[in-house]
Amino acid sequence: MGNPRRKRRSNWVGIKIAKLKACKACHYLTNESMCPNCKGTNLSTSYTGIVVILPGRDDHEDPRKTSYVASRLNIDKPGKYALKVR
Amino acid sequence: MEPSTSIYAIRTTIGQERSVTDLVTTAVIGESDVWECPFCREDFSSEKATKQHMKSCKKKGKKKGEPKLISKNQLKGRVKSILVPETLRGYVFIETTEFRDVEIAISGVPHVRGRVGGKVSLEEIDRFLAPPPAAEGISEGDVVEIISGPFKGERAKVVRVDTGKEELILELLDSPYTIPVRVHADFAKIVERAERVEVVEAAEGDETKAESDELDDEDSFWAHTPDDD
Repeated sequence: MGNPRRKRRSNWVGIKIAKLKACKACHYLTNESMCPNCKGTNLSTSYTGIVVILPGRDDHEDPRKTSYVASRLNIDKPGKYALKVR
Repeated sequence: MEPSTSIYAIRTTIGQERSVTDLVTTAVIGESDVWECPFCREDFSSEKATKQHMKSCKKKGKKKGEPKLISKNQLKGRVKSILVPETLRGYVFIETTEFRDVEIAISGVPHVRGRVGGKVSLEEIDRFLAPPPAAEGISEGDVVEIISGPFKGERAKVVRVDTGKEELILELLDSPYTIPVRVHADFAKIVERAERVEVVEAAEGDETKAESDELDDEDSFWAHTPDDD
């Protein structure tokens, strides 16, 4: 019960990991109340699966040209996305 | 155009797939190239920034020089994407140009338990990218187990399937009253399928029809048996 070290640690985790929300329109994962990708406000905390599209050497490159996963999911901006959003 | 990348699987500790993904992401985008000013040895993150600094470098004097590349981020532009299908626990997929990049990306990352030899075929990846609708395969009369929510662990009978919303309307088996419960299809696991009564009936109907056809046909063996008696 009274283990101060354990308690402090759990608090630290609580601050560090904020629950990500997925945009229902573009599946982008964010901490904010508005999707920074499509400016939509329809966000959901219930999602499964994550896809991270990494940027190329050239920042403005379309990831769909180089990545199979991005072309399949039709993602045109690097970032963290959810696979399925409810 | 078909992208010239391959997808490799890595094994992780179960439940740590997200932390592995975050660490690999930082390994790829967190580190930039390092360029050095030839005069004062100061580090910069790009060739452009170094050139800009060199114009006003105090130690420049009358010397001439070019920005010097100290180290290059090996992963940037080579690791294309990371996929975490939560249906497959303990595995993370990495899309890279070469297997060597996977090796570099996961080196030193905690909770990585190893690599899986060989490429993962694109058809296998497609299954995770476009998962079938959750309500598929569940029909009225089936017995399901609720795996999440307040009724976790309860068994229930499917009364109706709402395919559009991917929801099931269930009736709890252990409850003395029949209360309809709406549950998302993701949270129901099929335990027992209902007997397909309609299918059996249809098959029987076909058989009787086939028999009568055979008796009607004069050339049939069955058509002549009554005459012989």
